Amino acid sequence: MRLNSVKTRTRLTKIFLAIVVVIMIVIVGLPLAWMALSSFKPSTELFKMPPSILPKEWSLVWYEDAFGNDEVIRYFVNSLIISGATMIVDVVFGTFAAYSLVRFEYHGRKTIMMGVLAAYCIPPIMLMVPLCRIIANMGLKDSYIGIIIGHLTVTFPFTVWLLMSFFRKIPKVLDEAALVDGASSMQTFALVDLPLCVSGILSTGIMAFILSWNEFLLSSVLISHDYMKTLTVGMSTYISSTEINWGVLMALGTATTIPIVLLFTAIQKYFVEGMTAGAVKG
Amino acid sequence: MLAGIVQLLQIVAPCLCLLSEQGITGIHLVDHFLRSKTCSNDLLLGTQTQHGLVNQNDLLNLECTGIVQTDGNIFRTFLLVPYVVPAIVIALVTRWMLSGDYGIISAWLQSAGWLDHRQSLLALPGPALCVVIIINIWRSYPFPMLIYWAALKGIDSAMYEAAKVDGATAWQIFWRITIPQLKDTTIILLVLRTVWTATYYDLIQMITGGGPAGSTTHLPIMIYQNSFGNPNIAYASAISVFLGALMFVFVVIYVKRSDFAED
Repeated sequence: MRLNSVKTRTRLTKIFLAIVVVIMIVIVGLPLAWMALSSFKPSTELFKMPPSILPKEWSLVWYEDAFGNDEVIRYFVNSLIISGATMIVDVVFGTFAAYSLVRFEYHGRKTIMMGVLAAYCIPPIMLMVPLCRIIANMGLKDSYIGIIIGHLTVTFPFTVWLLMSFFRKIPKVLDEAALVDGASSMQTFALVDLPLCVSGILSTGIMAFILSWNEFLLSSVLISHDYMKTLTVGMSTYISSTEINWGVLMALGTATTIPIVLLFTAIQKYFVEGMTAGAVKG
Repeated sequence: MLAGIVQLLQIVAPCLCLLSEQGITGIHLVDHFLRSKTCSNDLLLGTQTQHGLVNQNDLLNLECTGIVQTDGNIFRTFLLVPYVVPAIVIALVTRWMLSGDYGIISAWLQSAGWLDHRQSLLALPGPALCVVIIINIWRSYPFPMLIYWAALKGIDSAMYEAAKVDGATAWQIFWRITIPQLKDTTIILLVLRTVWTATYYDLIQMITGGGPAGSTTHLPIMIYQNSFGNPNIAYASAISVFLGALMFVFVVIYVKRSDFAED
């Protein structure tokens, strides 16, 4: 008797959860699915009112349009260069910074940690005016270095913060054992701690890449020439022109989102680990 | 001056956004509640069948093999996706779906008679603000979700067991243990999200650009407009400093609240 009631209850719970899950999936997935579907519709269907859900005829015409354009290829290359460089600088310097902040005792360590946290919390919109002026006065506007510096100011604190949480998880006993065995602190870092953190460091790097790839505000301010535009800035110029080319934009949007989502899916396990371990604790 | 005050009131919009965000993450609480409920039953069963002291987590894994347990990770990954979708893409899709001429949502609303022919929600001040808020929620709920998820996992299961031994009902356990345990997390999330939402610029700029008629303009957009669109750097800096001071209050609360100091 009791067993039965428990079973029905469990089943009811499952059904309820299934409904919630389906609703959430629809809310999250629908806009993105609609974008992808729209990008495969030929213009006769794209601009039909009322619109049909699935394209009757799948076409790649918008993708051909988008990628037949040299400008768009240029945007992709720019985005790749900038995000890649940001990622590398973030990871290299971030690893050293985070390691030293977690492992060593020195004067001003707490202040630096405070600074990292403050920089992480300061919103880009407030950095924008001074940063833009500084970079412009240095003559780095419309150059890769200028934009990369801009992206670093946004992503670096986040990288350090995330990496700190990974290093914190390594027990100090390991370091001590290495020291007892006669390893220098550089050897301890390179041979003991670093290998243990590789997955965390890689996923942090990919997160930095994603952040930089998605960045819009600073890039839009720092870039005025067409040939330097990143994907996000390029798309925004398409969107703000009076005659919006929806088909190309949908294709571009899909092409921009897919690599990011794939990358994120690959690293989400470590990202979740890092974010929930160190970023915010109750 | 009056305009300035009105703009200030726009801070209310992000706050609203924030509240609804907390509401969405509430679904996770419901989920947790349901699980703890099934588990209390399982625990009873377990003791009856001489499982003796069964760890609640083992039970969770063993018995609650619903969607959430087995495919929980896939589901979680899926729900985290909005966090990494570029803001411009979200803005793009929003404008496409709401486009007065070809948008699918506009088409539904128009055929239902709630919108005039060829009119878009984004052209009406009130609805435009609502749209911007909803899109902000869509974009930013994953972060609180993640943090709450971690916080829920971090609650000591011994507390639940003790409560069950004392004969507490699932409701009591939920209100007396789960909710109080999440208090600190909630405060920190409120602080962080207030700072981030009140200063988040990209989405609103790209969806409405502050329009129509300034109805979706908030402080970050004013800063941008005054420093680049129609340069008045002094005014822009003044707003920046004001916004910064406002946000600093929240950051101080965050630093005080987080376990940063003991670290």
